[in-house]
Amino acid sequence: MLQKIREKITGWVAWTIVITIGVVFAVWGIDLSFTPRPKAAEVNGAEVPVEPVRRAYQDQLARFQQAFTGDVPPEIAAEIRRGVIEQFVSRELLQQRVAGQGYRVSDAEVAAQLRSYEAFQIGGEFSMEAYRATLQGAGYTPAMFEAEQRRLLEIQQLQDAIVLSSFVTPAEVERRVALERELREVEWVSWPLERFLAEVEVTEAEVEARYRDNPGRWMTPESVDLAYVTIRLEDLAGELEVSEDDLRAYYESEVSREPERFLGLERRKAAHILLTGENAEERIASLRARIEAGADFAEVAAEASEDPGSAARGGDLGWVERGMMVPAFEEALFAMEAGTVSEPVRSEFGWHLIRLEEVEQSGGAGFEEVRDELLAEYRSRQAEDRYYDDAEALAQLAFENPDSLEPAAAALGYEIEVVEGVTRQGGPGIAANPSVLAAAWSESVFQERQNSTVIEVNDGEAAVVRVADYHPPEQRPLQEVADQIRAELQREQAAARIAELAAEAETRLAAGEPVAEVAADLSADHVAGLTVVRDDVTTPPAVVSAAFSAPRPTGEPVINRAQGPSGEYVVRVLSATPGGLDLLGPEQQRELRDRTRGARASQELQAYLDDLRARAEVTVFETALQ
Amino acid sequence: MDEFLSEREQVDRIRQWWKENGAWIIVGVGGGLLALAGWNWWQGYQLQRAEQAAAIYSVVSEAAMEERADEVRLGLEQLESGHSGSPYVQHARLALAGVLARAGEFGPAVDQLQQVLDEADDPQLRLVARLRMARALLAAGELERALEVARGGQPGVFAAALREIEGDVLARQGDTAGARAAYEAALADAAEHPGVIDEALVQLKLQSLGPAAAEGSETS
Repeated sequence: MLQKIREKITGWVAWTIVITIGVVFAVWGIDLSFTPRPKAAEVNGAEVPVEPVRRAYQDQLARFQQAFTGDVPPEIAAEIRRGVIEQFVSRELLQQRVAGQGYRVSDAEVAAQLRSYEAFQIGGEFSMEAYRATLQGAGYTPAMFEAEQRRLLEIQQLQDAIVLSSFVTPAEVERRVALERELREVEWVSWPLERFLAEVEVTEAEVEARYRDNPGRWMTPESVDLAYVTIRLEDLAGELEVSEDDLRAYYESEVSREPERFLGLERRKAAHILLTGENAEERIASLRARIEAGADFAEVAAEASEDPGSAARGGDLGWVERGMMVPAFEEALFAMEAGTVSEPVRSEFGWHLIRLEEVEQSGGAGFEEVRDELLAEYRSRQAEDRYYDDAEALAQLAFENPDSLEPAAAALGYEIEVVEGVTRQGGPGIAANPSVLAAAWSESVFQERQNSTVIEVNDGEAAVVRVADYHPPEQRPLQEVADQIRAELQREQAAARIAELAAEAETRLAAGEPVAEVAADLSADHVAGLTVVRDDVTTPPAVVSAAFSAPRPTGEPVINRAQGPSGEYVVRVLSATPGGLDLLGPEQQRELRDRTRGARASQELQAYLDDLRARAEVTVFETALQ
Repeated sequence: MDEFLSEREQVDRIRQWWKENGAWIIVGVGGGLLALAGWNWWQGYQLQRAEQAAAIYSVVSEAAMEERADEVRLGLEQLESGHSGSPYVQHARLALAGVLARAGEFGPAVDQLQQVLDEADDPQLRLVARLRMARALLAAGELERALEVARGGQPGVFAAALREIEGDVLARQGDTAGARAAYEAALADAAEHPGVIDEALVQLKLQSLGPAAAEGSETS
């Protein structure tokens, strides 16, 4: 009795609990993942799971790898990683911002959004199957995905609210135009360096003094002389002696390896009679006797052969090639003379009588015909064998005698060659090859003076190198660098001469003298009456930069000097006129206003996002992505 | 449970206990379920309300794009009276301020922005409003108030843009040294957050003030 009540009570209590828990689940849902998941970041206490971030990062990385055609440098990979995490952090921040604030996107808008994705479309139409399949592939349930889309649309509403309500005031646009499109009226005098170079006299003493006073400049680069042994497939093939016997033997081996190539294709037209079962051997002997006595083979075959396929055609088998028949049959057939009938032949089918009707030969080539071809083939095969054997032996010997190439060269019969003047940048001959150059300056070859390993220089060329001699940097003799020094001094002296003239011009232009006069007195070129804008492309860049880096002239002209790559300029800025909106057509004005407003909107949005980020509590776990 | 009681007594005790407490348990569970249902209903109701507000705002936003100020104002009034806590109220005010400012009505635009600045829950949205308000005040010629707004609040990342406006106001007032300092501060702030102002333009504004007059500032 008590037991029953107990069961009932526990049953009732249990049900209540189950129902309560069920209600809790149905209403709120519960995150059952109690195990700590790896996270890419923590944003105001909320986790950004690592998996989607990792996927996005790897996608990005793959795109960069394509651009770099190879490995992305680690610092750029780190940059990409940080960028991707920041995107997810930013998204999380915005999601938190819109959550529970009263934003709402209707079901219809979410549906419209889903319909717009190409991934869910088949033939331009939204497809429920494509939608479910794509989501399943990405590990989403429709409910999860739709909730996420709704959240993204809410974020979009927030961003639109900022962007679409932006404005720029007319005064702002005017000020921008006034500054960006300012006009400056200029005139200038200039001295091309080229013209003064010829006038400058540089004495030998000056050249020598410059050479003596700067011992550290004009050094030769450090270099090594490389000794090397190289094996070239081409040379080996040329050197090879081939006797007639060798070639014959090669021919024979090739014939047995590839008979069709040399003997051509043989086929034989045959007929047969097949007998099976008891006394087949005796019966076939008697048939053969009949044929010997003059009976027609075809008639006998039609009458007696137990091969149902061929009997009706008088035993005819048509054309037979090697490999088509069982071995015993083939052997007998290919040993016969045309027009004869064989002895009885035993095969696994029974007893045969074979009649050979006709033999036909096609293709094939005799020794003399293929001699040259064979010779070339033979040479290249022999040379290749030797190339690999030698390369292996060279590797071995060079390794066993790391301090000299002599043993290897002597044992294999190669010359040691030398290339001189190999710098870290490159060298002549074999040293032009990047692998050789890298080996030459490697630690073991350059520092420890050991033989290199075998370097594959080219396809069919291998080498071992060692440093034969080292030349440290040293000062180049004066006569080698004299011209260079002279040119340098000429430029300096010409520039100094110009600077003197420019200083004088500066004073005289500031005093208000006309440019033409100043230019004539100081052997300068001059230009007058020109108006320039900031993005001028027809005026020398040095002039434009001098014109606009000068303070705005207020009444009095302003003088400014500028150094260009090919000369010096003294510029007089006469006046500055602010750019005017009225110089633009109505279409251009509207375009400028829209562009300015667009730029303003994106600056405000950027500030919104950056400020949101700056005020949030964010921890980034960059290592979780590695 | 007491082992010495007979089965009958045990059953009696349980019955007794249920008699005393059963009613309360039923009331508790029932009350709980009711509260749950009420909460669910409230959630649904809120959602419905939010959807209504969103629908009104979508009309407002459409009208704002076509610069129809009256329609925007009408929508905003509906939101203000029926959905006062909704973020769409602030969005609609920003939209109306935008339409008004683009039409050159800076005074009324400032009023809308002032309300966003006072009422919005979203601190960054308040800063957007502050920035625009300073600009609109400058355009309306209320330089002192513009300066006050540009210098107020906790600007955070918005400091660069606010300093730029401050420079614009000061330059307009003829305070070249002040304007220069403000522009330089704007550029320094923007160095940490690229893309929040047009740095090239600020550089030009700075240059247009002329070279820093070292002697002038010493004597003054």
